Amino acid sequence: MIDASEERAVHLAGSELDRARHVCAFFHTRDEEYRVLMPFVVEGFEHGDRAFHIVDPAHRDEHIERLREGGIDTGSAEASGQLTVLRWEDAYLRGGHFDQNAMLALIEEVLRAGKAQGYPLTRLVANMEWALEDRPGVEDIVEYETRLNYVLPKYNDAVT
Amino acid sequence: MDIMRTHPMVIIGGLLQENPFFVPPDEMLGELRRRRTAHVPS
Repeated sequence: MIDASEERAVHLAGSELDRARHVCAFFHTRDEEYRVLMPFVVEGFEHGDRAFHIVDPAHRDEHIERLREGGIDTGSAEASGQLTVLRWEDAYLRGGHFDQNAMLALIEEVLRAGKAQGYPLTRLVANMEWALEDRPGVEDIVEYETRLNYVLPKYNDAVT
Repeated sequence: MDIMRTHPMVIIGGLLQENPFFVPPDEMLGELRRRRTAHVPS
């Protein structure tokens, strides 16, 4: 168990994250994306936090490779459950469409499980570019992100 | 862009900032509800 007073600072994109930990990030290129997010991800591993990533299925292999280049032993981290890398269709697009209720339940379950398993924090990094495509249910994305603001303050976890 | 209004923090230009466009969820859900009502065909 980690006492709240022992909780370590979370840094992201040049600043320390305060209590508001729901972050929207815009990047021009994938290089920029990894340049900004990798220190946040690596810091999480240094702190023993859980890493939960949701990625474009076309880029999953590259994502794992970038994590490796960042010094993360992805094989053992995935085997231990500290690192989970899901594809869009395993999360946002289960069943081929976006279901905001199912997704809110998934996020809450991930955060609750991280805590129950003893991780100090879960650092959730989710690529949302699918929302730019014409996917069934995508019209609910704004309501989903809004409702996430009721869920996240219950946890200390960081969601980007 | 509505999605931008649902996040209290934002990274633009590689830097984390408080999002000045953030709308708290009660207010945002109210707005979405009003919009839907306005679009119901009579």
